[in-house]
Amino acid sequence: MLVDINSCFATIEQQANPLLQGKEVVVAAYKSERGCILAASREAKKLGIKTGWRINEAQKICPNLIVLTPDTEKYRFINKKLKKILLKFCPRVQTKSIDEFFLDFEGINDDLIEIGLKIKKEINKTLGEWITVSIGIGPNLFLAKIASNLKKPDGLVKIDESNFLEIYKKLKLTDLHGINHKTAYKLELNGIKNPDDFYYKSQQELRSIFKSICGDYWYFRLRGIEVDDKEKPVKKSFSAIFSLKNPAKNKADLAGIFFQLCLKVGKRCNKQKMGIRGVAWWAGGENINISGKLHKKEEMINGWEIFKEIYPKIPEFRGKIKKVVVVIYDLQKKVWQKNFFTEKEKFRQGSEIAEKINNKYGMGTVFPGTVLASKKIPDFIGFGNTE
Amino acid sequence: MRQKINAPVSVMMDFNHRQNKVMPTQIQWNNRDFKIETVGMHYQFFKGKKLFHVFSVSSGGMFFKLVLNTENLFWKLSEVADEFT
Repeated sequence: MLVDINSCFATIEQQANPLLQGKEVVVAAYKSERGCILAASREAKKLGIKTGWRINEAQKICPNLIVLTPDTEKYRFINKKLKKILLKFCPRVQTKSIDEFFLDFEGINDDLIEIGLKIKKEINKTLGEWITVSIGIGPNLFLAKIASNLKKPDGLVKIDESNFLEIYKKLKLTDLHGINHKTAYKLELNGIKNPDDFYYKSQQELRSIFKSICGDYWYFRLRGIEVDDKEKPVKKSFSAIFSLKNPAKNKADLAGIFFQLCLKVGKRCNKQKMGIRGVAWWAGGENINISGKLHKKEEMINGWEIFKEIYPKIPEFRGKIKKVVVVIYDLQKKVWQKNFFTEKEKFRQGSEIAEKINNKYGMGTVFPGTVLASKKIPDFIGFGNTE
Repeated sequence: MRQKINAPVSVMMDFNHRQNKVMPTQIQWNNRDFKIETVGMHYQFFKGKKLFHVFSVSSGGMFFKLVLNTENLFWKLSEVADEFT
């Protein structure tokens, strides 16, 4: 079963502020004209406003559009509270993203439609009347996702052996989760025009079209066999990305952004108790691209160390940087033998203490002097997996 | 219009031990009393180890975001908005 909050950020804002209910509301990364819309309320969606649009595009359709910026604490709270509700109904709940949960009912023979209705009722009672969810029930995660998208908002749809072919006939290839326009084009070149054609291709044919094991995965997915719900094993790399509202014009401007991205990837890696050997970074914008990577024999253990290693390697530049990316790779099991006589050891101990202070008193309480005058990243929520 | 305020505010609270419910009932801000009509949402967050409670409430066409710092039990009015935002 897949549970998906409808127009997540926008409906949460409408729930918090009853004066916004029934109005065209969007939550955007920035309030400026070119700010990207992250969520549109049901009322805004009815006018055709979609996630990913710029604010000025949406305002052409709806001049009275109410634009809000994200309140991340609120969304995280709802995410945790919803997970608690779902755990009452199913012991195996996976958080797929900030607004999506997968419930694994394998081995439980209760009526899932009935459970779905109870979940809706409980959400209504606990989170508020304005927050609704679409629930999709299917034999695997893929079909549950399709089912949840079939009726929005407030849907409850089940796909099983009695109706899946009928549903495939009504869908386009790009309606399938994981098929983008490029893949759809590739499939069309191979005579697959819709999900129905896709289903009737043999495992061998799909393997030769995808030229990899992905073909086999699609063969199983379309038949309701689970290939996606496994908890991911230890991750091999982490990345963090940030788009700047006002472009950075010099290296000092970027220091704070690089520092916070380093902390972010460092923290994720630390959760896995891994050390970092490889780091790559990229910053780019109008006619400018700077990038680099480094690989160390000795592991870096946190974001402070990553920042210390990469910041001196970032060149001075002329131009306007709009996007910054930091990727860490070659993660190794952390084996840290203390050596009390080296400078590096002192830095490690210092940075670990700084991290503890920041955890206790809030991010940004202690930071390196290099980032003092630079731009900082506001708190934000990614759209991907929550791991 | 929506405006960040971040100023101290007087808040009257009601705790109902039978229903296990806590909710602000009235606030005093700018020498005016506002009787709270709806509590849209109540949530908590940590800033470091400090726990804050947030109440999103409305009163007479106005929206208020009230924040309680549980360390010193002081209230702040974080945000105000009218019905047009």
